Amino acid sequence: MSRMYRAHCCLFDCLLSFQSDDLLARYGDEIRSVFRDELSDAWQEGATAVLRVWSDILTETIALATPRYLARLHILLAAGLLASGLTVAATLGFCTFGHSPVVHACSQKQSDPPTATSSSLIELPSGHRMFLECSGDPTVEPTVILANGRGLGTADAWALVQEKVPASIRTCSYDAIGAGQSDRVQEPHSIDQVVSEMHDLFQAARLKQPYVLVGASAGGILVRRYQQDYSHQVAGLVFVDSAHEEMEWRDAAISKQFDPNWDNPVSLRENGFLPDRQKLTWHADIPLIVLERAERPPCSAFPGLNQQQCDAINDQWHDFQVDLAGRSRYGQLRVIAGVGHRMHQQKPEAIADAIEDVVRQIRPESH
Amino acid sequence: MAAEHQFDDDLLENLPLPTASFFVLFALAEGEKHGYRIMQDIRELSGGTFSVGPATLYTTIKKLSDQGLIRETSPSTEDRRRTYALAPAGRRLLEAEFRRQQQLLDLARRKKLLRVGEQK
Repeated sequence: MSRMYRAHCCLFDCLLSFQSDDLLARYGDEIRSVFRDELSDAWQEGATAVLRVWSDILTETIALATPRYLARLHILLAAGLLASGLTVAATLGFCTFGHSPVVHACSQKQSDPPTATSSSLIELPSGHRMFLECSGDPTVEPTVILANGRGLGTADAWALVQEKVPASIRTCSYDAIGAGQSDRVQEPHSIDQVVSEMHDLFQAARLKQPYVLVGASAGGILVRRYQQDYSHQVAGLVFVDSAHEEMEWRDAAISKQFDPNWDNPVSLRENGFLPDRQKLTWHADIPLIVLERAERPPCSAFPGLNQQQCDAINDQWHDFQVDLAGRSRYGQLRVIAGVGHRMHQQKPEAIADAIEDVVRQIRPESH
Repeated sequence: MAAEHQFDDDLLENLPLPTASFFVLFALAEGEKHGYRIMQDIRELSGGTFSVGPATLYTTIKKLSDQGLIRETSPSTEDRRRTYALAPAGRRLLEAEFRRQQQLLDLARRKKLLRVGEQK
C-alpha cells in the first residue's frame, strides 16, 4: 500500500507542476500536505473515495491551468504574427534593422525620457522585507508614492494608475507588510507601525525626496499621518475618496449602529481616528488635490440605517472631502463623475491627472 | 482594525462572492482552521454539493489573504501546519454576502416563488 500511496503522491506532484510558480512558492508544501491528508482519509474509505479525490484534482488542474496556458498560447501567436509581419515588411524594404544609411520608411516613435521599471524586495532595518515597484524616470524629483497599508494592500491595486502616470514622473507602489509579496506578521498593525514601515521602506529603497503621497480611502488618513510625522519629506498630496479622522464620531452622531467600535479607544487609535468631539487640526500648505467620487453608495451598503440617516452619511462624506481640500491654501476639490469608491480601478486616469498636476505645481519648470 | 465600516460599499463591489471564496470565508467564520480542515468543512457546510481540491483551496486562500480578508495565524506547537482566520474585513464581507442572499430570498418569497421554509 505504501508504494501505491507514494505513487499517488508522485502523480500529484507532477500535476501540481502545472500550477503557477507564485502559488507553489508560497503554498506548495501545504498543498502537498493537504493532498496527503485527503488521500489518507480516502484510502480508508475505499476505492470510490480515492477515485473521487482524483476526479476533483483532475478537474481543478484543468480549470486552473487552462487559462494560463491559453494566455501563453495567445502571446506565442501574437509574437509569431509580429515576426511574420516584420519579415514581410523587411523583405519589401519598408524597414531595416540595425545600423543602416538607408532612410527608414517605417516611423519610429520618439523615445520617452529614460525610464526604469523595477521591482524588488527591500529589507527594512526590522528584518522584514517589503515588495516595491517603481516606474518612470529614476533621475527626477519628486517621487510619487502610491501608499498602501490602510485602504489598499498591494501594489497591484494601483497598477492601472501607475500605467497612466507619464514616464517623466517617478512613481512607486508597494505591498504593505502582511500583503502580497511582502513579509507576513502575526498581529494586526496600528497606523503608527504602518507609518514607521513606510518611512523605513522609503529610506531603505533610497527614494528621491521630496515625495508626493497618494492615499485612497483609509489611506488618506495614513498619508496625512506620514506628512505630519515627516513634513519635510512631503511636497504634495493626492487624496482619493479619502476617509476623515473625525469620521467615527460624526457617523455615530447620525447612527450609533453604524460602527459599534466608534468609541473604542484602541480601535480608534490603531486606525488613526479621533475620539468623540475631537477635531482634526492637521493643516499643510502644500499642493493638494482631493478627488471625490460622484456616485453615492446605495443605502443597502449601510444596513440598519433608514433613508434619512443614509442620506446624512453620504452628505457628510461630501463635507469631509470639502473640509480636506480646505486644509491647504493650495487645496483643490475634484468631483469625479461616474465613479464610486474604487476610483483607482474605475477611473485611474483621473488619479494620474491629479498626480501630474501636483507634480507640475512642485516643479513648475517642467512641461 | 474594525473601524472601517465606512468602506463597506467598497467591499460590496466584491459581491456576489465566487463560490470558493464564499465557502472559505464561511468555514473560517467559526474560528481559525488549517487548510485540510477548511476543505472538509466546505464539503460539510455545502451538504456535499460543493468541494474544492488543494490547489483551488490555496489559490483562494492566496487571493483572500492578499485582499486582507483572511490572515495567517501562528501554528500551534504540536501542529506545524499554518492556520487561517477571518480578518475583520472578511467577516464584514461574509455578512454582506449573507445579507445579499437574504434579500434575494425575501424577494422570491414576496413574489411567491418560494414559500417560507422551503429549501428547494
